[in-house]
Amino acid sequence: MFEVIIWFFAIILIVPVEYIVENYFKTMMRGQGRSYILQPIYRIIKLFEKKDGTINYFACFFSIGAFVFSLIALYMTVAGFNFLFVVSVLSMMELFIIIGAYSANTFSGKICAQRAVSRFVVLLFTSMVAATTIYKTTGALNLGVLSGYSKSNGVFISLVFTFISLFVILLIKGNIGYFNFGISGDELSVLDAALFTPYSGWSLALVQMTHWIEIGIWIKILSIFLPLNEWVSFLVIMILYLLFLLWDGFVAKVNWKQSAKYSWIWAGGVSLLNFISLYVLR
Amino acid sequence: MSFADLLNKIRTRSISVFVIQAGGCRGCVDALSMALSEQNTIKGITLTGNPKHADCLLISGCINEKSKEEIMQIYEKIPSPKAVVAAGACACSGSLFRRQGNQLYIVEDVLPVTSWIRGCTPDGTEMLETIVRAMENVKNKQAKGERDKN
Amino acid sequence: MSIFLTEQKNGELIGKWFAYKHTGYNLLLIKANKKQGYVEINYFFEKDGNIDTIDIEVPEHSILPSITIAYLEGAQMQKEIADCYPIRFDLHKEDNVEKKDFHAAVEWGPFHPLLPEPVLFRFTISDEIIDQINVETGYNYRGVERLCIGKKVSEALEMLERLSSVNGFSIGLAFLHAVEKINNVNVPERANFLRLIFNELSFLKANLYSLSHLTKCLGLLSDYSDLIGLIKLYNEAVAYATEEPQLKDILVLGGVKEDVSNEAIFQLNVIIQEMVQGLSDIRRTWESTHSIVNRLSSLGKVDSKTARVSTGRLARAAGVYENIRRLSKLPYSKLSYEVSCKEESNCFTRTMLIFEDCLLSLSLIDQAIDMLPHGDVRASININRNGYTVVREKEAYGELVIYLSLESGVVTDIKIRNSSSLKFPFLSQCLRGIQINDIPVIISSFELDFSAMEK
Repeated sequence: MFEVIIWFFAIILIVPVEYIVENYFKTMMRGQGRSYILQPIYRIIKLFEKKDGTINYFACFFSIGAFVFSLIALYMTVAGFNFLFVVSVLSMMELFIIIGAYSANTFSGKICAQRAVSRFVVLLFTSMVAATTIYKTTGALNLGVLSGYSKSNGVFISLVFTFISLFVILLIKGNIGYFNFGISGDELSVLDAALFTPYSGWSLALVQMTHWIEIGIWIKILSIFLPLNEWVSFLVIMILYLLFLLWDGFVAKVNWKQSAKYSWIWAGGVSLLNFISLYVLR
Repeated sequence: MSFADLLNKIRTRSISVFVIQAGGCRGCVDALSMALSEQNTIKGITLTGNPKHADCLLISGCINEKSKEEIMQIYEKIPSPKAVVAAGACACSGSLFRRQGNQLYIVEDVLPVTSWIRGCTPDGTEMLETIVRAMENVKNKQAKGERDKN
Repeated sequence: MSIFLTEQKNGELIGKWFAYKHTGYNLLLIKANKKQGYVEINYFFEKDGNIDTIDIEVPEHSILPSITIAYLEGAQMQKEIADCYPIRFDLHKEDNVEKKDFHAAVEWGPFHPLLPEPVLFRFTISDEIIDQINVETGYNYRGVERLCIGKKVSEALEMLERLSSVNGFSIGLAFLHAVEKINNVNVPERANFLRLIFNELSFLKANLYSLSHLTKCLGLLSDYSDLIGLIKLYNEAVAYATEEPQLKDILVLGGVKEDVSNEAIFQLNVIIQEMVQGLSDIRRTWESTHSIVNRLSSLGKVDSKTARVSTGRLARAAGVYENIRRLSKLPYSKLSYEVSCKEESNCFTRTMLIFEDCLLSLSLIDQAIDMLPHGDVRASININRNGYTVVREKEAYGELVIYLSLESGVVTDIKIRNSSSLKFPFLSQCLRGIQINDIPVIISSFELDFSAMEK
C-alpha cells in the first residue's frame, strides 16, 4: 500500500516536471517567449485565484468530475488494477471533458468536442484490441501481474506492436506531431485549446492537472511493458515522450483528418497487427 | 517576505496576454512579438488567443465604432483580476488620426486602463515591463480592496 | 430613400465597363467625391501604361450597378465607397450573401491570433468544409484619406507613413513621387538610390514577416525561430542607417531627411547579406519536406483568369509576369534583376516566391550600394503647382496606386489603393470548399495588409 501511495503522488508530481523540462528547452529556442523554469506551475497557481464574472456551473461540474475520475484512474493504475477498468475510468474522464466542451455551446467547443470524440474512438478501439492481445499473450490483464510478467518472461518482445500503438495513444493525448487533432498546430489557435474553452480560472487549472495526470497514467501503463525496474521503465518512457514533445516543434502540422488517418494506422492498425500476428500467423 | 507576497510574486510570473490590434499600423504588435522572442530580463509573458484564459488585455491602434463593441465583449470575457494596457500613441491619444468628432476612440474612452505605453512605435521591452507592472498594480489594488472590505 | 438610375444610364455604364474589359484594360482604381447633392465617381482603367477614366455624377442615395459584373477585383474598392458616401451598389447575387443568411454561422475573428489584423469571417460549414462565406471588414478604418485633405504635404506624409508597419515606407514614397511629379521635382541621384535601398529593405522586412506568419500557421517552431533570427539580423543591419526599424520619418520631399554615410551603409550590407544563407537553407528544407509541400500545394489554388487581374505573388505564381519596379521613378533600370514567376498559383508556389523575392531584394540592395553615387540627398524645392496625378509603385505585396490632387502644396484629394484591395475579393473564392483548418494558411499566403487597405 505504501508503494502505491508513493507511486500515486510521484506521478502527480513527476509529470509536471516533464512539461517544465519541455518548457525549459523550448524557451532556449530562438523566437520563443522567455519563461521561468517553473512557469507551468506558476500558471496553475495563478489560475486558482482567477474569477469569472459569471460562474459557469457546467464548467465547474465537468472539470471537477474529470479531475476526480483522473485521480481514480491513477490510483487504479498504480495499484495494478485490470487494464480495461483503467481504460473505462479514463473514458469517463474523457467524456466529462468532451461534454464540458460541448456544453460551452460555442463553435470552437463543439468542433473540438467532435474531434475529441474521434480521438476517443481511436483510443477505445486500440485499447480493446491491445487488451485482447495482452490477454492472449499473458492470460492476464491486471497491470500488477503484467508488470511481473514483462520482467520475468520478456513479454515486451511479443507485444512490441501493442506497445507502439499505446505509445501512439500517448502522442495523440499530447497532441504531438502528426497526431495533433488541433486546428493547424499553432499554439495560439483558439481551436487548439478549444477543449478547454469553457473553462477558466480554477476549473481550467483542474482540467490542466487532469491532462497531466492522464499523461502520467499512460506513461505508467507503457512502462509496464519494459523488462526493467518499474522506476527505470517509467523514466525511460518519460524521456521518450519528452523527445517527442521536443520533436513536435520541428514538424509541420497536418490537418486533423490526416491526423485521424495516421492515428488509425499507427494506433488502431499497429495494435491490430499484433493481434493478427498472435491469432493468425501462429 | 510574507506568504501573501510570495504568492503575489508567483502570480505575476505567468501572464497571459490577449492582444487586440485595432486600427493602426500594426507596428506595436510587431514590436511586442519581437520583444517576446528576444533574450531579455522580463520572463513569463505569453500570448493567448482565448480571452477566458487571459490576464491582461493589450490594445494598440485607434478604436472605431465597429471595433469598440467587439473589444468590450472581449474584456467582459476575461476573468478577474485583469489589466488593460494601452500600447502606442494611437491607443493612448489617438496619435495623428483622432480629431474632434471623427468617431475614433482611445482605449481610455472604452475601458478602464491600468497602464499606458506611449510612443510611436514604443519599445518592445518597455511594453513587457509595463505589462508586468500593470499586473502588479491590479494585484495591489485587489489586495487593498480586500483589506478595505475587511 | 433610394434612387435607381434609369435603365439606359445603367446600361451605358455597364457597356463602358465591358468595352474596357474586352479591349484589355485593367481596373486600376475607383474613387469618389461628394459634391452638393451629388456623388462623383471616377473609375480608372489601365492598359500598357495608358490610363483612362470613366467619370459619373449621381444624386445622393442612388443605387448604381456593381462593377463586379465586369471586374470582380473592384469589389473592395466599391465597398469602401459605399461605406463612406451616400450611395449603394446593386450587388449581383453572388456578392450578396448577407449577414442574415448565416443562421448557424461560424464566426472567426475579428480579433484572432492567427489573423494578423482584425477581420470577421462568417462561415456556414458542412463537415468542416466551408460552404458560404461572408467577410466583414472595417475594424481598422481610421479615415486617413479624409484626414489628409487640407493638410500640407509633410503632414500628410507623416500620416501615410503610419498606415502600415510593413508597407508604410512604400506608401509614403508613392505619395512623394506623386507630389514630385506634379511639381516637376528632380530628386538628387544619391537620394534616389537611398530611397531604393530603404524601399527594398521594407520589402525584405514585410516578406520575412509573411514567412514567419506562415511558419506559425504550419506550427513549425524551429523554422519560426530561424526566421525570427533573420528579422533580428534585419533590425541589427537597419540600425546602422536609421534608428527607426519601421523606416518612418526617413523620407522628405525632394529626397531623404538625412544622408547615411557610406561606411554605415556598407556595414548594413555586410550584415544583411548574411541572410542569403539562412533563407536558402529554410527554402531547401521546405522544398524537401513532403508534409509541407503536400499541404501547401493542395491549398489556395488560383486559376490563371483570376491571377491575371490580381497582383503580386498571387498573379506571379500563376505565370502572370508582373514587374512593377519598372514603373517606379527609382533607378531600378540601372540594376540588373529578374522577377520570378511560377506555373501554378497555390500556397506552396507563392511561399517559394516569397523566398525568391527576399533574395531578389538582397541582390538589389547589394547592387544599389555598389553603385551609390556621391552628392546631395535633398533638393531645395518649392511646391506651388496645382494638379493631379496617378502614381503606380511597388509595395511588398504587389502594386500600389495613389491618386493625388494638390493645390498650392495642400492635398485636395487623395485615394490609395494597395495590393490587398485588389486581392481581397478573391479570398472568398479561395476559401470556399476548403477545410476550416486551412483558413490561416490561405489567408497568410494571400498576404493582406488590412492596415493599408482600410486606412
